[in-house]
Order: sequence, then structure tokens, then C-alpha cells
Amino acid sequence: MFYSLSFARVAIAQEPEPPEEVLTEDRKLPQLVWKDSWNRIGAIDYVVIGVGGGMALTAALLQPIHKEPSIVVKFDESVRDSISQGSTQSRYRARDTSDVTLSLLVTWPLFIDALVTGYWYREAPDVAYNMALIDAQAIAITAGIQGITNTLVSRERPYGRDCGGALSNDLYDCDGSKRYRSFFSGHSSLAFTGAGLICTHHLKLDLIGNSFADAASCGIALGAAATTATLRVLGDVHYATDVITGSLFGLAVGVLVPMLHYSFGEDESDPAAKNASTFQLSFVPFGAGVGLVGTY
Amino acid sequence: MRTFFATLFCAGAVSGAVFCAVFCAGTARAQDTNTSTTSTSTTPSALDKLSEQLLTGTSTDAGMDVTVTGNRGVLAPRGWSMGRERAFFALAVDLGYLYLRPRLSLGYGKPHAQWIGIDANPIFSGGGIGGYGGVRAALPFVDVRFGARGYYSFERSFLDAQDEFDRLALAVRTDEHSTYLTWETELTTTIAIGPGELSALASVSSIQGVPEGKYVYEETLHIIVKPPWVWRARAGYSLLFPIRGARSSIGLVLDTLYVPGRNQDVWRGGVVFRVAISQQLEVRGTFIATIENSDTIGILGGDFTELGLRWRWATGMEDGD
Repeated sequence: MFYSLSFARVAIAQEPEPPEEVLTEDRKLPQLVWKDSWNRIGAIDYVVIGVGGGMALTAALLQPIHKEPSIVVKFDESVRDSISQGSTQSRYRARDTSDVTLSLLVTWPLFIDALVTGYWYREAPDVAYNMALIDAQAIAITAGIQGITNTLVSRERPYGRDCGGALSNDLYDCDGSKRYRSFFSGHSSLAFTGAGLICTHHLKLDLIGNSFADAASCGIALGAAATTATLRVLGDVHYATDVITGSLFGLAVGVLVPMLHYSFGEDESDPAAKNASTFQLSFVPFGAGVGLVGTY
Repeated sequence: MRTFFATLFCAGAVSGAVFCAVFCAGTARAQDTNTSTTSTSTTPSALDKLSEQLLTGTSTDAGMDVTVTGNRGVLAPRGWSMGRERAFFALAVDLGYLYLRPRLSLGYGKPHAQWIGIDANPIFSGGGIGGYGGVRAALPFVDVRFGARGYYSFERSFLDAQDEFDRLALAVRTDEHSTYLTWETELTTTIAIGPGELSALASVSSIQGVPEGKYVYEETLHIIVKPPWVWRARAGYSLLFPIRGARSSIGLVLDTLYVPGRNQDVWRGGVVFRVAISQQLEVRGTFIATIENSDTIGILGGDFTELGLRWRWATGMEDGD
């Protein structure tokens, strides 16, 4: 097991009962507002989005700096030998499925959480605007850094060693720069960035207004991201270390970027902020692996 | 036998929709309470008269997305069917992961609702680039378009002829990338029934530019074709959720495609949904999987345009149109 996740509600700080006038007319959900103590999207954030997007596009156009068989890592070999036993047809099916799950995880924070839930359902255009740009910022950072890294590292994908043997050299996958872009996994990093964004927005903002639904959204998103990462190994397009690195990096970006806008800007003199529930993540030993614990 | 039923379904879908539309035209217009009744003109326009003589139907976005159907009169964001008829320039942009499809329209009528004119749109995706151009008549209950779509694929080549294809066949590279032109005619219609609406679509496509003896994977239809012909029909039913003014819907659709050159028919089914956030902005989702296909090409044989965003604009909006 690469990772496990558990959430424990260690301390629940009760929000003071909101005055009746802020409740919407036709439902009991409190109004969703962007607090003054939070960091709004500003000029620097637009610059980051532009730079990240530019880096990603540049990396996609550049060729990998070298195209040689990569160094063998024992752990990767043992994982590949144990799980990548499917036929070529099943491997392509795994890759195609990972494309679908990735597209959902990248678009969900923007289109569903920000636009549908934040803007339309909660009637909070200001919050939705900031959410959408925070999402774009996180995705741009992940895409940019991942793109430049895989161009510089130029690690050969696991199926590459089969090109000219079990796989024909006439495949697009064998002939082209994509053969040498294994480290680290773009699908895994972007999927976990999306999952991190979904978790942070839902748990910090109580986005749906139902704690079970918000927590379930986070759990489902993390499960989908883990599935995406696993499918990339099953599809023989990445080694285990590629997807582990990508997953951890993507999750870190997906959590830290929104938290830089949310809790790191909390006003310590604000009594409500002191009593408000805080959201924290930490890594802890968990059996033979590592666990990620969130408290709120 | 499958070919017979596929052909029968295609013919039946169109014929049934035409018959029901003519029969229900007057009732459907009276029951269409989601369409704005305000108008700056009390005299029926030329388009209104034409539409009364034709069918109840629907507008589609098939010039950009062949898999989408929607009743402009019911599902369209409020506002587009309001206002005055005029000459206009309109823009609709589809954005998703990973594609961008801006569509430019030039015509007369009510943009994005009832109009006649021309469409053009470039297509940018992770798999290739292309463009579409054609003429269109979008009437209150029927939408007809005719045009051509060119496409250049980054990572697909033409296919050697064979009876069946697997997923690996689509990954083989030859000397040339698959590049083709698809001529297409499409008719869509929608009938309001109960809490939702029944929609139907029929199209015929002719694929050109493929070398003799070769097959091609048509990127928009998601099917391997022995050129030139492909027939397609779709039927679906969507439940409408007019929550707080937004016209949202979720529905089930069933697709069938037939390639005469290969004597092959394909069946697909799935879910489509729309959440109209404002007059200009809409979130859409399409998840259609393969039910039956002699080719084992997996997800590439379905239609997973996943989550997408559509933004619309037109000249004259600032005048309240």
C-alpha cells in the first residue's frame, strides 16, 4: 500500500451562531463569504498562473534532453514484475481509463466546486471567483514543474524497454518524445492536485453545507486520484516511484496553495478566527507505510 | 439482423420525431412555459411563421460537439430566446480537459436560440487540430445543419483494412498522420413530454481524403470507418430541473452508428447533464459508453467528453437582447 488516509475530528470549534439576517431566504445554509483575513487572488497570482502555464507548454514542446535507457531501481522492478502482467490491450485500456479519471479530477474543482456549487448553489460569486483562480494556480504550478522535470530527467517509461521486441517500434508510444517522460507522473500529480483542491475547499468552506457530503467528496476525490495513479502503473507507462513522487507532489500543491490563501492569512486578533476550527494535515507512520492525517 | 434494426432505428427515430413534432407543434408551443413569452414585437416574425409550419425540435451544438442535444426552447439559458431578431455575430466557447472549441456564428435571428446563418469553429485538442464550417437553421423546435469538418491527428495514422480492430491498432504509426474531411448533415428535434423532453438526432457523414483501401478513426464520431459513409441516430430523454431560474437537466441517451462500408453497427448509451449557471455560462457533462461494437477499442469507442464549460456571447446583448 503506497499510502493511506484517515481523518479524525480532534477538536471541533463551534462557529458562533450566525445572525438570522445572513441566512438566505429559501434555505438555512449560512452565507458563504470570503473573509477579510484571507488572501485574495491578486496580481502575483495571475503571474504565477501565467508562468506555470507557460512552463507546461514549453516543456511539452521541448524534446527530452537525453534519450537513453534509465537507471534500474530495484523497487520499481519488483512492482512492475508483480502487477504489470496484463496484455497490451489491457494496458492500453488502463491508460485510457486514467485519461478519463484525470480529466474529471482536473475539471471538477473549477467547474463543479467553484462554478456550480460556489457560484450557483451557494450564491457566492466572490468566493467562487477566488476558488476558481486558486484552482487554476495550483494546476498551473503542478503542470509547469512536472513538465520541466520530466523534460530534464528524461527517464524512459517502463514499456520503452519492450520497443523493438514485444512492442513494435512502429507504435507512436515507441517513436516520440513521450517515451522519455516517465519521471514524475503527470497524471498522478495533476490528479492529486485536483483531489487536494477538492478536499481543501470542501473542508475549509463547508462547501456543500453538509459535513458528511463534504467529507465524502474529499474521500471520493482521493480515491479517484489513487486509482488514476495505480492505472498508470498498470498501463506500464510509469514506474512506482514516478507515481509516488507525482502523487505526493500533487497533493502538497493541491493543499498548500489554497491554504496559503485561507488559513495562513488568519487574523490572530479576530476572536472568531481563534475559535474557528482549523484544518491541519500531517504525515504519520502507518504500518509498513505512511499515513496522512487530517484534523479539523 | 443488427444492420436491419440499426437502419430501422435510424429511420424510425427521424420519422417518429417528425410525425410527433408536426402533430404536437401547437400544443408544444403552448406548453413550453420555459420559453420567454415577452417579445418586443406582437407580429409573428418570418422565423416564427416558418417554425410553425415545420416541426417541434431542438437546437444542437453538433457543429462543435456532435454528441450534444438540447432543446433550446427549454434548456437554453433564459434570455437567448428573448429579445428582438437581428443580424448578429455570436461566439460560443467550449472548454474542457483537454480541448478548446470556439465557435463563431454569423446570421439573422435570435443568437443561440432561433436563427439562420453560418457557423465556423476551430478545434484544438490534445489529440489533434481541426476546423468546421457550415450553414445552419436553428428554429424553435428543429435544428438543421450542413457543413464540413477537417481534422489532423497528432497520434493516429490511417489503418490497413481488416475485419475487426483492437486498441493496439489505433496506436500504430505509419508514414502519414490521419488527415481527412468529413461532410455532414444533421437534423435534431425535441418534444416536451411530462417533466422533461424527448430528443432525437439523425445525421449522415461522408469522409473524404482517405487513401484508397485504408480505413480511418473518425475523432468526432469515435468510430473506425471505411470511407465514405457513416449514419448516426440518437434518442434520449432528459429530466428538467428549473432550480432557481437555471435550466438544468439530466438525461439518458442511446446512440447507434452504422458504417455501410464495413457492414458494422455500433451501440452506445450513457448520461448527459447540463447546469445553466447564467445566460452566458453553462457546465455540461457527457458520459457515453460503448454497449456493442465489433471493434475492441475500449473507451475510444465511446464518448467521454467529460466535464466542460460553455460560454456564449452575441452582439446586441448590451441592448438587453
